[in-house]
This record gives sequence, structure tokens and C-alpha cells, in this order.
Amino acid sequence: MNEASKQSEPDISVRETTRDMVRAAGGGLLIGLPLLFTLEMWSHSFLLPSWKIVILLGMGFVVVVGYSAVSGFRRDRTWGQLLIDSVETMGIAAVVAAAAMLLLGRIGIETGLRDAVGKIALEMIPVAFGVSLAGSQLVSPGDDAEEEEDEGSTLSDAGVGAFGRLFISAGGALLFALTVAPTEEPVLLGVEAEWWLVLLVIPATLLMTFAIVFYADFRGGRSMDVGDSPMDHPITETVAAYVVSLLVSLLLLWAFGRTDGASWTAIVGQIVMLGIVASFGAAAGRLLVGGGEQQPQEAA
Amino acid sequence: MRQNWLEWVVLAISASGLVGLVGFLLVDGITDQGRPPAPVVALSMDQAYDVADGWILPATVTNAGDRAAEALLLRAVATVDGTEEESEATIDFLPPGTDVDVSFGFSAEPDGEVTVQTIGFRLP
Repeated sequence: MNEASKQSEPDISVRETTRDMVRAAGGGLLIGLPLLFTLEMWSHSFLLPSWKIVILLGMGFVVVVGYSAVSGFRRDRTWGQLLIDSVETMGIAAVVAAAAMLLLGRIGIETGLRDAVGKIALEMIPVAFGVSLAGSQLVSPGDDAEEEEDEGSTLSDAGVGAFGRLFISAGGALLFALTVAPTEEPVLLGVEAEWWLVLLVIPATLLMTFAIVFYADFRGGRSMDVGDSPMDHPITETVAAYVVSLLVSLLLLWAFGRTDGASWTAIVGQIVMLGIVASFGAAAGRLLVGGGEQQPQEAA
Repeated sequence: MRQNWLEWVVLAISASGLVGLVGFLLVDGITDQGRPPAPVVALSMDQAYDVADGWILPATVTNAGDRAAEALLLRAVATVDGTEEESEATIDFLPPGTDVDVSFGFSAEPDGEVTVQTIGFRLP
């Protein structure tokens, strides 16, 4: 059992790996649980065509890779290592999703293979986000950070530029909006909303997400300092993150077949309504990676 | 890179699982002919049983098509004591390839054959 860990190099012991895996599974469940219990996720496994599920999986994978790259794990990694870690993240997520679907009785012997695979493939996406978060954000401080604390933190802080933050925004938006997009509610909200309500929701969302990141003094929030690049301005960043959130909303609505046969006004209404959830996710994502250089002041 | 056997095992399972999952979906997507839902009902006469107010006939419904049927309504017809009786069963979702169990009820065990007809369904 301990052979590997007894070698001279500072290897990660099997015990540590086991703990990492358990934490990954736990994080995956913490984030994935709401969608594991969502009826529409179960039925979309056979309602969606296979290629749409593959596209959704691909989007999830890109976010996992991007998140791992930006959030700077416990050791600096090459692209190859990053990819391997991301494959592992998806693999753990698939196992967790499959186990959950089995235990919840959503997959059984009478379930068709395509139905079962579809369920696992869809449910593993939110679980993978949780696994990914567990790899970095949910690690207890005195644990993995012990040796390479400095390198780790510089990597994550310096690594997140304006566009990195937009990427994180997309990830956060996807994570939040995914919990709502498969359900009926965004369709209902979008279709029933009057035009002036839709118009009102846009500035309200922008204002609130702007305040969350730049004004409300959350942990990881930033001051309103203007950076060098035009994207480093609070207003441009808020607007850009909102546009990213709307795009993520559109993608999800399309993927879940909500745009099929819908009128343009209904589609815009749905995008803006789901965009509320998505942009709060984008804001939460930016809080998570924090404000780079400004962070150390708060750490005291 | 991978520093112990467990990490290698996890990586191997993850990679093969992902390839299998995506591969299956891709092959399914390519071979999918988009055939419309085709409910097939298999009556389980040997599992039929009597209850206080009648007779219950279990059946298994499968979908031979490629697309799912929503709100599927089935009607079973049989002759009981000389009069024709009808019994209905609805299925919320009938995915392709998945078995769904339903039961039809009659006032007593029918004299002859039980025939089942698809009344209608929605395309989700």
C-alpha cells in the first residue's frame, strides 16, 4: 500500500490521493445535488439528441480545463498535466453521477442503454464543476498548500487577467444557469414577461452584479480601480461579463431545446430571464478568483 | 507526474470511461435515423391476477422508434361476460429502448383475447 509513498521523491501517498478523491466526490455532490434531483435533467437524457449532449459535455469540459488553469492548483502544471487533471475530474464526475443515478433509482435494469448513458453524461456536468471546485476552493488551508503555498498563490493571482476573469464568468454563469435552464421556469418567465419588464430586468441585473463584484465588499470583491487594459474597467468588465452570461444562457436554452419553434421575442425574453441567474453566477465566479493584486491586503 | 498507483488507476478509469461515454453518444448520434416513436405492448397474461373488484393484466411497453413519446395513451379492449370492456393506461414518457410497466384493469377475466391500441401521444 505504501510502497509508492516510501520512495525518495516527495510523492503523494495513496492515502492522500484517496482523500483527494473523496473530497472530489464530496465537492461534486455538493454542487451537483440539486440537478441530480431535477426531473427535467432525467427526461432530457432521452429527449435531447446525442450530439447535443456531447456539445454540453464539451462545454463542461472546456470550463473544467479553464477553471483548473486559472485557479492554480497546488502545483504548477504543464498543459499535459492540466489536461490529465481535467480528464480525471470528468471521470470522477461520471462515476459519482452514475452512482447517484443508480442509488436514486433513475437507472435500473429496465433502463435503456442510451437513456442511462444520457443521464450520466448530463448529470456529470454539474458534478464535474463541483469536483473542479473541490480541487482548489474547498481545500482546507493547512493541507495541500503547505509546501508550495507561495508559488500556488502567485500563480492564481497573477494568472487571472481581464480575459481570464471573463472565462471564469462564463464558467460561473454556466454553473448557475445550468441548474435552471433544463426546467420550465425560464420559458414561462420569458414568454410571459412584458417587453418593458424585459427592458427593466437588464439594467437591474447589470446594477446588481456590478455592486456584488465592485461595491458590496464581499470576500474576493474588488475596488473600483481602473486597470491598464480597457477590459480592466469595472463598467466594461460588468457589461462584458453580462454579454458572456447572455451568450451562455442562449447556448443552454438552445441545447435544452427551448428555442425550438419559439418566437424571437420569446427567445429574447428567455435569454434575459435566464441571464439573471447566469450573470449572478458570473459575478460569483469572479468573487471566487478574487481581485489579484488587491487580495493580500485583506488576508491580514 | 502521476505519483502513485491509485492516481494511475483513476486516470485509466476516467479516460476509458470518458472515451466510452462520448464514443457511445457519437455512434448513437450517427446511427440515429430519427424514427418516430413506435410503442410496442407485450401483455403478461401469465402474471395477471384477481383483485377485489376485478382482474388486473400487467403489460410491458417498449419503444421501437428513435424518439421519445410523451403522454402516451394506450387502450386495451376485451370481452368480459359477453360485453366489451375498455381499459386505459397513460405513460408520461416512453424513451426509446426503455421498458415501462403498466397494468390494465377489467371487471373480470376476459373470455377471449385482449387487444391493445395506441390512442395517441405527444412529441416532446
